[in-house]
Amino acid sequence: MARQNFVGVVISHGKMNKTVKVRVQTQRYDTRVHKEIFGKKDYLVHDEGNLCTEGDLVRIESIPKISSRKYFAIAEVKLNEGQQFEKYEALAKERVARDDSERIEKFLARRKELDSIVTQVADLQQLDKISRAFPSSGETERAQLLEQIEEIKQKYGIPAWPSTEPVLEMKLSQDQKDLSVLENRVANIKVILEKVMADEQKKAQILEAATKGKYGPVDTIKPQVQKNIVRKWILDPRNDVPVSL
Amino acid sequence: MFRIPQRFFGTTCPRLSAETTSTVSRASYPVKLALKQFFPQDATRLKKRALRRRELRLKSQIIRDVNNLKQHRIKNSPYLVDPVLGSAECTFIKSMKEVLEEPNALAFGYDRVEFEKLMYGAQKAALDATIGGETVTEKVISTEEKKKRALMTILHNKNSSNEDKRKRAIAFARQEFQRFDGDTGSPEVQAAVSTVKIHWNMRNIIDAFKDKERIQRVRQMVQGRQKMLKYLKRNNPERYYYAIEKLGLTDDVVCNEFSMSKAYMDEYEVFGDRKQLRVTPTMKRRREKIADLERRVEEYHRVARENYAKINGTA
Repeated sequence: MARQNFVGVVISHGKMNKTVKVRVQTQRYDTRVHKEIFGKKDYLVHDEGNLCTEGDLVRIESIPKISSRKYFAIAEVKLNEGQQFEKYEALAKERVARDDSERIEKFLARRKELDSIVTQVADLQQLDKISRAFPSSGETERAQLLEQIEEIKQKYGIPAWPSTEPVLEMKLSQDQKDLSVLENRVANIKVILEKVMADEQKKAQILEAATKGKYGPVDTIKPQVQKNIVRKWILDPRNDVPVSL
Repeated sequence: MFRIPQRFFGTTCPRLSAETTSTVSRASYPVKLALKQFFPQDATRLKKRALRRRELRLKSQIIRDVNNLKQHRIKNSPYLVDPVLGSAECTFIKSMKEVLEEPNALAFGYDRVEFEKLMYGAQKAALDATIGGETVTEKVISTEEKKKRALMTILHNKNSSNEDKRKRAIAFARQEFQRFDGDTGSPEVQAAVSTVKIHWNMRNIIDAFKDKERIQRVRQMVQGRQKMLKYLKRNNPERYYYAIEKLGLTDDVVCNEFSMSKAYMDEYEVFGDRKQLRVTPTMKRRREKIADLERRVEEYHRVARENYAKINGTA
């Protein structure tokens, strides 16, 4: 006669030598409530060689009783989930080390940026001072001052001083620009959407850039979903919209 | 040792590893050799019988003692890391502290680079509003410099409030763990945020050991973090291992039953020498019993080593 056979999950290992605990799910039909009721039973299972780890999916087979609670043995390890955990642990260590080095790099870059900005601001302040002192200074000093002005202008590529162009790019001004772009697009969203949806090539281009193949080929996406993705793309001021109003 | 309860669902098993290391350090002789009695040359029959009986008695005693000690060590193995604060070498926590103490960072999340630019812009605007002339220029520049210094004082790290620092620490944790921009809800982010809060509150608890309410809050947060991480382990083990590694925790700390009790406070010396639990006579007796057992087993090992040397003729 065939031996009793179950498939279960290892829920505990490492506490008893050559023994693991395996949870087996059972199912029976309850006539009182007229539906399948799930039950579970935990077995102590013989594992010669201590192979299984917690999380493994195993098939267990009945054997002659070898102790008061042990009458099953591991027949095969079906899914080695427990071994996966060890792999993940090793991967995590690498990833954390990578994160650390990235964080340090970012920190150093930020510090470098700050240093450069501080020197630039100091130079610009110097430039202001010189250009203010210029009219009241004598002939000999003027040549020297002019030289200094030229030097600073060349260093930062400033065409003229005092200049009408902004010399320092601020995040706030970038936000302002973005806002004006966004306002324009929100006002004309209907027209832009219609134009993009009518042009197959442009539409495909935007969809590909937005989804990056996440939902498969772009022409398999439902039209309404396509429209939503395109709308989201248009309403992000960082993106270019290839349509003229 | 701080006790790990019976229920254990972790993969990394400190008990088993502790057991193996302790047995590896032992020599290759069996501890049972300690029972060996050497019969003298002129031993009578009765004397020999008595010695053999002694051997039998010793055998069962040695086996019992060694096994009892083994069981005790398995049950009472310590956690791999501090279950509340995590590993002391955790780079995430270290860098969180560094971010808060960095002199270039400003309070309320302001960017120092933008600040410098803006202050220059203000000075330039003030200068442009005046007519030329050296004295006027210098005066304007010095006022603007004062304004900048005042703002710098307000926004400086040293002067920022505890609340602001806490917020920035939480923002840092979120940025480190978020799956996408603005992610505040994924389990690893929640666990990271509660880790930051736990560290934050533990600092206050050390100063004020009578703040029972705060202790209770931290206790709940530790439980909540455990729960969140257990859920993550079920759903996405890869992310789970990444999260615990980064937070300086280990699997046994997450998967074991744990409560931040007075026993924990004493074990990890949260309040230094100040003990929370009084040593009752029962506790004392129990500890003495274990110490006695350890001493006995050590003695068996010593005798066994000697007997092994005698039998094999090595000094």
